Amino acid sequence: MRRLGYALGLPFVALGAYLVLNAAPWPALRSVAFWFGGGIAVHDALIAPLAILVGALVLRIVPTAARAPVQAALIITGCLAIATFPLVWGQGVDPSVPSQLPLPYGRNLLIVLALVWLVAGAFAVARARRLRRPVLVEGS
Amino acid sequence: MEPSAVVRGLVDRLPEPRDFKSRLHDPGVAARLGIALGVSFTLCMLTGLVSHYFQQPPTWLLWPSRPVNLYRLNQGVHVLSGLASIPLLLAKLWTVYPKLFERPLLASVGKGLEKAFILVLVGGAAFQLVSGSFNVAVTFPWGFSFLPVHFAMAFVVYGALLIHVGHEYAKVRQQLKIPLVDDVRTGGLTRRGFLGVAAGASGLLVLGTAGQTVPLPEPLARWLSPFATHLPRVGPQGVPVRKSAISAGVVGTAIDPAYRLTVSGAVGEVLELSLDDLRALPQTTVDLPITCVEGWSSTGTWTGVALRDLLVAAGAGPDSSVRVVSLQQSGVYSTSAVDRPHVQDAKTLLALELNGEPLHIDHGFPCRLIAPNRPGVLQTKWLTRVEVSA
Repeated sequence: MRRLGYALGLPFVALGAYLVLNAAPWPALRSVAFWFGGGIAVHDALIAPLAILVGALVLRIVPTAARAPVQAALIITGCLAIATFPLVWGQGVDPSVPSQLPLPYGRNLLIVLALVWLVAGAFAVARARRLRRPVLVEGS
Repeated sequence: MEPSAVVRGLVDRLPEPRDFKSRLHDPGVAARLGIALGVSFTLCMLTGLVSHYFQQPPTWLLWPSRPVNLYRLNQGVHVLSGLASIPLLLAKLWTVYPKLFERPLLASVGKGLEKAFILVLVGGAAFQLVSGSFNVAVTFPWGFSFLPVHFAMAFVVYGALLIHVGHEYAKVRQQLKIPLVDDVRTGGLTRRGFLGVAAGASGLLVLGTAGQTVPLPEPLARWLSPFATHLPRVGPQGVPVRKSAISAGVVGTAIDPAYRLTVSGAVGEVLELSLDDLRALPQTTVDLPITCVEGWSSTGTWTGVALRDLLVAAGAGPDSSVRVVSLQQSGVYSTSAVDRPHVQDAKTLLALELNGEPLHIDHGFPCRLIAPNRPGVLQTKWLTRVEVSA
C-alpha cells in the first residue's frame, strides 16, 4: 500500500507544486508560504497547547458528573469560533451590497454557543442526579 | 553556554509522547477521524475540479445545460464539506498531537519522508480550509490570487493525502477491528463521545450554513441559518447579489437611454436593440437559480428573450456559440462564453425582468444572461454585446 500511495500521490503533489509556483510567482509565493506555515504554527504552538491547558483545568475544577458535557461544549465552542471567525471578523461586508453577509454573525455565534452550553448544562445536571441516586445493593 | 547546548536543553524540556495522558490521543480515534476526513476531502476535491472546469472549460469539454441544478448541488457540497472538515481536522490533529514530539525526528529515511509528507498534508489542508472559509466570507487578507492558488494547493493536499493513506491503510484496518470501549467512571469524554462531539460540531456548522443554498421561507431561513453568507430570499427583488453596479462601475452606462444591445459576428443581420426593442420581442419566463461559486444559491423567476430566439432573429446558424460582453469595463467576469448546449437550451435567456419587475440594476439592468446549470460568475450582467461565432 505504501508504494501505491507514493505512486498515486507523488504525481499529484508534483503537479500541485508546479501549479502553485505558476499561480503565485514571487512575491505572492511568500504569502502562500506564510499561510501554509502559519496554519501549522498556529495549531501546534497555540491551539493545541491551549486545548491541553483548558483540558487540564477541566480535570482539576469540574466535578466528575459535569466533566464530559463541559469538555464537549468546550470543543464545540472552539471549533465553531475558529470556523466562523472570517464571518464574525466581518471584513467582507460591502455597503454597496447589503445582501452579502447580511447577518450579525458575532451575535449568532453567541446564540448558538449559548444553546450548546444549555444542552451541556442539562446533561451535566442529569448525570449528577443519576450519580446521587442511592445504589440499591442486593440484600440490603 | 554554546548555542547547540541551549537548543539541546530546550529540546530536552519538550514533552514526549508518553507525557500526553488523555485517552483521546488514540489510534482508534485517529483512524475513524481519518476516514471521515478522507471522505470530506474527496468530496471537496471532486466538486472543486468540477467547479473549476465549469468556470474555465478546456476546449474539448462541453458542459451540458441540464440538469438545471447540477452546478448548484456541486457548489453546495463543495462549501459544506469543506466547512464540515474544519472540526474533523482539528479533532484529528488533537488526537495525533503527541506524535509531534516523537524523537529522534529522523529515525530513518522512510520515516523522515513519511513525516515530511504529513507536514505537507497538514499545512496544505489547513491552507485550503482557512483560505476557503475566508473566501466565502469575501475576505482576502493575503497577497496571492485565491482562485488559482486554492486550485493548485488542492493537488498538493490530495497527493499528500494519498501518500498518507498508503502509509496508514494497514494500521487503520487493524484499528477498526478494535471496538472503542471506555471506562465511564472518570466522568471525562469517552473516545466514542469525542468522535460524536467532533461530528456534532461539523453538523452544527453544516446545518447553520445550509440555508444559504436550501431555500427556506423568511424569517425561518434567518433563524435556522446563523452562518449563511447570503439568504436565498434576501436581496433586491428577493435575490441576493455578489457584485453591485457601483463596484462594477456601470451605473451611468446601464441607465443611459442610448443603451443598445448589439448582436454581431456570424449573423445574417447585425442587430442593434434598444430596451424597448428587446421588450417587443417574444418573451419567455423561466425559474432558474443563481449559483455563486461561494456556495449560496437562490432561485428567481426570470423573463426575457430566449437566446436561441434572438439568434434566429439575427439569422445565425443553428450550431452557433456565443460570447456575451458586459458594460463592465474590466475584470475576468466582464465577458463569458456560452457554448452550444446552453445556446440551444430553451431556458437560456437574456433576462429583462426578475420576479415580475424590470431587473434591479445590481441584478444586471437592462439585460443579463441567465442559463441553467452554470456558475453565477458566468451569468454575465449588464450585457452590451452578443458576439456570435459559427
